[in-house]
Amino acid sequence: MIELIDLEKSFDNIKAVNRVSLNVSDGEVFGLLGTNGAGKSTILRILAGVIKPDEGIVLVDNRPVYDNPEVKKDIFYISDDQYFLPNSTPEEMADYYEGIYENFDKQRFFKFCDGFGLEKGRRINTFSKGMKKQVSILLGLCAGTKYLFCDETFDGLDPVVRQGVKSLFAADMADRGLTPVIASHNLRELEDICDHVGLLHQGGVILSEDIADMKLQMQKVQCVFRDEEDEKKALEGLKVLIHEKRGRLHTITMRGEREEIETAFKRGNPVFFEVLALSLEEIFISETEVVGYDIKKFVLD
Amino acid sequence: MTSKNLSLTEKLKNHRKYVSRTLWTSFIALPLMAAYNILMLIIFLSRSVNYARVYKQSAELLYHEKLRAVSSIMGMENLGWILTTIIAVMFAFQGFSYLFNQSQLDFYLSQPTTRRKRVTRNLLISISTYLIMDIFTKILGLIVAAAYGAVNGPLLLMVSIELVRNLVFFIAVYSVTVLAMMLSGTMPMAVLLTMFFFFITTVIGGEILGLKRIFFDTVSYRESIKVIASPFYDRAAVLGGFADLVKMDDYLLNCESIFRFFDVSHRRDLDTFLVALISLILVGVASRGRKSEWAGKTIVYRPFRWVVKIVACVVVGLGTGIIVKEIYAMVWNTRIYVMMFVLMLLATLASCIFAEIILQGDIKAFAKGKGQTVIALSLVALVFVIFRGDLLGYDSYLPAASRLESCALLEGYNSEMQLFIGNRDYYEDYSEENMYLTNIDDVLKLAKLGMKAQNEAGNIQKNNEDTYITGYDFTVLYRFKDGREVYRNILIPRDVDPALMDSVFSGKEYLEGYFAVFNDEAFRQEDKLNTRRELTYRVNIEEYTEKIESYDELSDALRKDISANYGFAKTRDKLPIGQISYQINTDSYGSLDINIYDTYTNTIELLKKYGLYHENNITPDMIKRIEVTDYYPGYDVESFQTGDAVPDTESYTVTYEDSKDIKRILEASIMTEYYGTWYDYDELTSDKYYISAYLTDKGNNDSYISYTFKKGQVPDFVIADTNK
Repeated sequence: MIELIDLEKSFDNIKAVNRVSLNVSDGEVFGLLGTNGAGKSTILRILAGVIKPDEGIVLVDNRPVYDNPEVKKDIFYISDDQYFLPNSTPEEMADYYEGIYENFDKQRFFKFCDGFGLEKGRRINTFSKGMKKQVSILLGLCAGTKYLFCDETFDGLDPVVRQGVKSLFAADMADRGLTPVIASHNLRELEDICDHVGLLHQGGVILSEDIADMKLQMQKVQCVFRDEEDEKKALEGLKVLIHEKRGRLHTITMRGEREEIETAFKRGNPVFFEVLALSLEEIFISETEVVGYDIKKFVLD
Repeated sequence: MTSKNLSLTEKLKNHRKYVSRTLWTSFIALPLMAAYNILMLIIFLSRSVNYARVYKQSAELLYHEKLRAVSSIMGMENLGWILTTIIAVMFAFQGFSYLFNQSQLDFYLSQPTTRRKRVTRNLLISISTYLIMDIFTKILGLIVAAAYGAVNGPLLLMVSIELVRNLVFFIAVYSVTVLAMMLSGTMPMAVLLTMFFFFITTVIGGEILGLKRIFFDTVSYRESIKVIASPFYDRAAVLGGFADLVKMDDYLLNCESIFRFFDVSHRRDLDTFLVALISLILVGVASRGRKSEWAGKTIVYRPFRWVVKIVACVVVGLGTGIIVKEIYAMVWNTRIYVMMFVLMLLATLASCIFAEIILQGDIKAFAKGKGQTVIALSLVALVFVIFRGDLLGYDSYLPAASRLESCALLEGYNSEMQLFIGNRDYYEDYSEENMYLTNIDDVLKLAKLGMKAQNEAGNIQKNNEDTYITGYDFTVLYRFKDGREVYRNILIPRDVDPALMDSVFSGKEYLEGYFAVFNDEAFRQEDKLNTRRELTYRVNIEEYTEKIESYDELSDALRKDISANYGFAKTRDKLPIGQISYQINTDSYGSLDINIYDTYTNTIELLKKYGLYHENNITPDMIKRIEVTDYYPGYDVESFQTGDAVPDTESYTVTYEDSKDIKRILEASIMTEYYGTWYDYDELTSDKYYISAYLTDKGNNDSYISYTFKKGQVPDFVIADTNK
């Protein structure tokens, strides 16, 4: 289990991580979502022991991670800009990691390389960006660590490879309790792989919940009211996050369970109303808009 | 199978692969080291063999030359440290360049190791790789040398010692470079900082010496630049001493000849060792405190950034002062000090602005760092004031007698005795090496008087005044009990108490420390191989040469005469009557040229024994004409006091051919062909005139004898004739 308690990190005068508290349970896929500059990569680097937090506690299985090789044996970190030894091949990288991680499985890595069509003896610097990401992910999976931290790792992978990687993740989670922590902007990709997401904005956590719970706790309703009186009755007591109106058609995003919202709208007796399923991206946009990160500002300005 | 099950061989194989990937510069370094330790050695040995064949050297000499050839590549005098420097810098930059790259930091620092272990591992891999390559190539080189028959015990000892010295030098250069990288956030800044660390102490040492020479009157040219914490200077500074030692006959033929190198190098080797040790410790400290997010900054520690900027700007400011002095050297006067000071401050200010732009990487940042600029300007001003006002008392420095072991009073260049063995003059630093004056109180009294006069002379020079002060120029060397040596130039006034002068200059310690005939065993030894043994006696412009039995009898006679008859009081009112010259022309070249006084009875007897002695009997009838040159026509120079302005006039020459005029001129003058060290030219001669006497029997030969008028005895007709 990974615990982040009141984590703070500043770079010069810029607060990159501001009192972040998160828990990552074993055996789940944790997605770190966030706006640009929200501190996702910084948190992953702190989790990987690359940088030291200014304040707060980071515990991996109840042990501090910074400069602690015993903990780092359980961690493999794939940064957004992967580094490979100069002029190395996948095979040489496997040799290298064989000396670093005692559970590194070279045969498995070679098998994966064959499966993904990656030549073991070819220099990695001749690979495409996507192929390099594949090599990183496969090295990470074969390191045999309990935790795998991926920073924007799925960006640039083609859909087939993405599915392949997801299935490998699922297999390792089932077989040996792998716990991946994935930071990404690609919300659609995280939606069907993550069990739990932490939503970051300006260094702080907006929410941290299971995706299923999150979807249950936020609804989007499209409706048409007869008059304003009905609208007031329907929305009374509801936590409205976003309210858009085009003609008489209202699109309202709000917190609350489906039943509670349906009851409220029936009370308002609208001409028509329908509760729609929210995608993770919509939840992300809604939550960040609430805290002032409104995409419309960029467009309209 | 996981890596838990790897065999030791597989682990070693993986380690080798890692080294080859992370230290690929070793693939460049190894051929370079092989080229130096093997190929160059073969070239040198082959050259020695061919030289011996062409010039028919004996087998013994060839063997020695081959040993020298091997040592010149692998011994302490080698220049391989330049290659070592290149390799150390390459290894450091490759091993620690990850500090500047976020993706590499992510890669390395997320792995299960501590920062300390990672840095230690990098250091050990680099150092061990270098050491293995050095040993490997040296062993191959020695095998080649053995095949040429160019190996013996002392040589192996020499190579082993150099191996250790070279390793220490490598570690010093490597760890200083790593330290610079630890304190930098970008590669260009690391390069600049490495250069800063490498050369800053040498530059500061040079500037301090330069400022001393500008501001202080008693600074001696013998005072050398003082540099600490510079492995390069350490290596370069001992090369001169080594060059002398390799010319010695027994070099590499016994272990003692190897241990002599330690006398020359041990202090510098210790300095390099301390640099290696301290910089390694600092690397540890800096790596502990360094944050990975500092990649991309220029200098990562704020206080250190201040120090670097201030030191660099102060160095630029002081250097500007020295350049200004060089430019205005010929027209210097005290007013130029003001301009010098202003330019030093302006240069400091400009360098602060420039440094800030570099450190910030932003041209708009030129006005930032005002605090550092103020400190740098203040330091430059402070240094200027300290030197200008001599606040540290350099020009009045007199050590406490109780702290001194001995002193020496050195002349500019004493070339009376030379013995060149190889290219080295065995007696070049004779006085410095052999003069140990223990009557320290008297030396200090003379030094005090001498410093005062030296300061007065210096002030005259600085003010560009047309006056002068004369005296006896010396450099006093204070040897302290703690091993320190301090030099000061002094100008002993001519009117100093003769008893005080003789207490020093007529003493055994001075005479034996000044005249090399008292310690001429090497010269005597070399003379045994000398077959010509020709002694020449010069009197006026005549020369007489005869073969003598041995140099030893000449040396013995001179020792007796000098001990009994040389000294301040004994020679201040007389000039030498002639000069003897003796040369050795064997494989070595040696010469003795020494002036003879009429009181040197033993030497004169020896000259008589070989029919060399001739009186200096120049009579008027032997002279066909005399030319008298008046340097200051129209001025009565004899009435001038010390410090009076010297007139700027054209000289005027009159020629006398009348025998009466010639006779009167000769009666009123003294021959000055031979210089008298203690002769009081100011008091006893007139420096207004110069006399050239051309001999009759020399035909058209323009050889002449030099004379000068005795003070107050210039004939009236000469005054009248020349006063135009």
